[in-house]
Amino acid sequence: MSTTSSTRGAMLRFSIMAKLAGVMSLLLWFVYLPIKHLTDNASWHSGVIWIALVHGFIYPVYVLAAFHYCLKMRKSLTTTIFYILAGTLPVASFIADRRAIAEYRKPLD
Amino acid sequence: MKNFSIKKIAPLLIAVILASAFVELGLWQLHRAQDTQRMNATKVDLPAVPLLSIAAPNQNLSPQSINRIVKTSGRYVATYSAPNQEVILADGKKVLQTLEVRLLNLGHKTGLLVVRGIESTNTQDFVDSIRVTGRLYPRQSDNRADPANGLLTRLDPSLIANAQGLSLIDGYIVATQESTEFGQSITADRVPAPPAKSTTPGFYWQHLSYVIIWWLMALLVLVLPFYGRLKDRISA
Repeated sequence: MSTTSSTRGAMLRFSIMAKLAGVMSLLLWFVYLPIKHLTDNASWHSGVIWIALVHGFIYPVYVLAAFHYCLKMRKSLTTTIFYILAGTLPVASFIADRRAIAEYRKPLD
Repeated sequence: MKNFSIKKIAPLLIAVILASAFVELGLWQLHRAQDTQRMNATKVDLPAVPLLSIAAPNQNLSPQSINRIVKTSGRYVATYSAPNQEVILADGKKVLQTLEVRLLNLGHKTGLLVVRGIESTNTQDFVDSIRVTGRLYPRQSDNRADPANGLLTRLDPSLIANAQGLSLIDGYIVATQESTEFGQSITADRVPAPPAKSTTPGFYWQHLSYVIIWWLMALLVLVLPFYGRLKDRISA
């Protein structure tokens, strides 16, 4: 019982962090980075700096959640690395999240 | 036996090399965070130093040299206008002004951009050597005007690279004092020269978050060779 609930906890933590990291990655890649590198406007850059800041602090928490989830689910090393890196790419963490939820539910179905 | 040892040692060795690289990247970000903090800290001005003791042509300004009061001398060899430059008045108000900027030939084929003050209709001509004291600022990166002849769209020596055959010092100085070589003071409509601060808030914390990420990656890479054992232990 405790093992199941702790695995569920790890999955929930990962799922929440994957969604947060996914939203922040989308903002980082499609708002912050184009403004920083394609425009020459310091005030716009100042206005979106929070995106890089929030993503920078969310990603380490995501990494810990992903690593713990992968350990609990006995994932292979390659899959674990994929889950960790998914937090840096837009959409990839949403895919990882969907995969994790599907895998977690599988034995229950 | 030999194969077994190599198989065991190789992942560890790779992990240590990768972890060292990540630790170094973390340290690099930590230094950048400290530089940002140092630049934005309120400091008492140090005594003026000779410009060439803290800066050299064709080299980026070091963080330590930014905001220093410097003294130098040379001959003015070109004049430019820099429109739409923000000037902070004594009461704290910000106004946009066109500044008079000159290229100072320091000798030895070295040049420096000097902001003399607010541009006036009466252009002063200087033939002899001038002694200049002022604050050293980093080059600007945002254009303030459309390009035109004799006009600097931003205060950035790269816009006039190789002008007059000179190698330019990075950044520019805002002159607070000018005098002839005989010590006679030269007047101009000077602009205040407060210490520069980073215009983008949050840079310090952004760098710190990267420090955490790189060092966390270093730790994870060191754990990865033992991943199998850790997996067994956790799931048990």
